[in-house]
Amino acid sequence: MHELSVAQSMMSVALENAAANNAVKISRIELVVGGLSGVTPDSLLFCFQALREGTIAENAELVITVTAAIAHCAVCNSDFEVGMYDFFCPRCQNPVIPKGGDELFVKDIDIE
Amino acid sequence: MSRTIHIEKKILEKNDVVAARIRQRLYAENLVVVNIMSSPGAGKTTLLEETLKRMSPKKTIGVIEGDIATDNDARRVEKAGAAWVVQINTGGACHLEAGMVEKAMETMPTGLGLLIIENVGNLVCPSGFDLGDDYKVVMASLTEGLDKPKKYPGMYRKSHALVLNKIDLAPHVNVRPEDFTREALEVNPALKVFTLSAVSGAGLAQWCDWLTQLKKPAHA
Repeated sequence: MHELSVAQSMMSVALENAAANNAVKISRIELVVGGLSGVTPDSLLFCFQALREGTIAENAELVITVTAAIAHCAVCNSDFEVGMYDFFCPRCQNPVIPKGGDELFVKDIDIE
Repeated sequence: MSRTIHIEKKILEKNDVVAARIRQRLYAENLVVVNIMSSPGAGKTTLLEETLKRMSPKKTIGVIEGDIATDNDARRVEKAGAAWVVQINTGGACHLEAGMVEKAMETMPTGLGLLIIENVGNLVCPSGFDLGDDYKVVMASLTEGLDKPKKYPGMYRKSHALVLNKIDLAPHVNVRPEDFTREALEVNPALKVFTLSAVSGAGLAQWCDWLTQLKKPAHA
């Protein structure tokens, strides 16, 4: 996907917040990435490693939490996690519309 | 000393802020915006040409063309009857972002009846960027194969309508339009589906009727 754009936006969010808090160093950045957002964590990490050079996040660790999408089946009234390609109720095979899973945000940063 | 700063800030918030600004401006002008997305070669530009030929006598239509390079598409849609066209060359980026659209709109005249954005040909990235549009349309061609809605669910989930193009090729490919439609509806049951051939003209009338009656959604 567009991991470089995402990584650039993530870096500017982190750097702006670090500057606003007079940080000299960012040691950790935590992201929340939805399982249906289309963003690949490995690719994001690769872009991040290129972008962090020469910034105060140069030695920062990137922690990515992947969240699942949840769907509700109106036929059997159950809630369950859905994967990227599987929008069906595992019990009754009814097609469902997933909720969530498209999150993409910077949760917090550790600064010094 | 180390401390944690809680942010909880959406990574693409800057894009969303610009998209909201575009939506605000166009709501005031009561201008409906349709964002058409597909893989390369599905037939977006041909569909636009045929749509403009049919609709431009009655409706003034503006077009924003997104491509990595060349202004071929802008010239084609201008010739087909677009009242205003601007070509965005992303220079390598695989999708349009709201900032590019806002900049393109600087020269847009007032009084357009419809604005159509033709996104960069790509089934993945364009779905992630809000452009301030009102209706997202995913376009597919029968020749792409039956498995595409489920392989690219993000695009299908976020769209309001599906245009299934090249149905005139159905006898030559191993995909039936009704099967493709079923696959797409399983990913997003709310999709409004148009099966058509931009080349033969079959099904174009229903598509144009839908575009003609589109209303600005209630202001968020």
